[in-house]
Amino acid sequence: MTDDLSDLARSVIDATKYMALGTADEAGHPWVSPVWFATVDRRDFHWVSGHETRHSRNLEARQEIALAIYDPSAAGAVYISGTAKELTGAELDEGIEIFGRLSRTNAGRDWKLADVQPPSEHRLYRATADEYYVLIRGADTERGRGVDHRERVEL
Amino acid sequence: MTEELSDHARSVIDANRYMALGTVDEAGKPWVSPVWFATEDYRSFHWVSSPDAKHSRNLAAHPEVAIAIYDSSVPVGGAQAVYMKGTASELTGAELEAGLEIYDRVSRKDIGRGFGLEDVQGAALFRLYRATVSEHWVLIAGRDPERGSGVDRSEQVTL
Repeated sequence: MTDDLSDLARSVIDATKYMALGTADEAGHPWVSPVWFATVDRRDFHWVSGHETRHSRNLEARQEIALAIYDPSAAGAVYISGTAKELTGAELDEGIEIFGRLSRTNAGRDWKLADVQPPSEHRLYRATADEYYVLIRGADTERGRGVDHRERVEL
Repeated sequence: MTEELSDHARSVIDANRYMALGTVDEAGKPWVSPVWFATEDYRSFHWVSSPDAKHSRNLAAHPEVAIAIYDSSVPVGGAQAVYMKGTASELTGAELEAGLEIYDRVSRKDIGRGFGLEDVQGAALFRLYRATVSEHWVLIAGRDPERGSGVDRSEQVTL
């Protein structure tokens, strides 16, 4: 049963290209931005953003993040909590290899180290998931409780 | 030009049925939940949730919200998004009646399911919530031929 839900979580992540990235600033004001993500292990989620955008500035102040991954009909949804940061040094080398490869394959756009370092405005970011949950609809014939709820899964 | 962007924001909101609702807990830790929303004016966004859901509990502690509305199925580079901030709370009393009228109307029209007061009060599993948006922005893609700056950014619009 839990394995089924883990599979469900994997299939939602694999089928979806954008995630809703939730951040908060120093004072705790929330912010949500959709970002195109690249992951090979469903644990590390990479994206590229301008370093001046609000979510990038929020991450400088607070590394805690939340993610929601769902399709337009929200037939399946995955909730994730974790931490995120801008990558530098060896982590950047490793991250851009993954992001560049998936972007070439899935989006036809190449990203190289020079594209995510000064003088470029773009930087590479990585969220690392700590906890995963899947949405169980209230009307789910097996697990529904009348009202939507989440169940924790391990990936 | 600004009017064009406002129209664009309205069309993104009209084309999507779910919004990513961003809340924070007492310690300021973020949380994001997709919720089905009903709006008739692009400023008041209604949804029903369990009062025990994490985002509902977060709102009880901290009414500030952020919202993103986007289509996660579009090809990369074609992303369209609206960003909003405002405050949200569970509705009660006269606000609940007014809000439920809107939610019920949109829900009937879009998914054929009606909601009455008995569904969002007392022993019911649901409550009705409303976010009141104070600011809207639209995504300007870095590669936008007209307005792009090379890097994705947002521009504020009035709705």
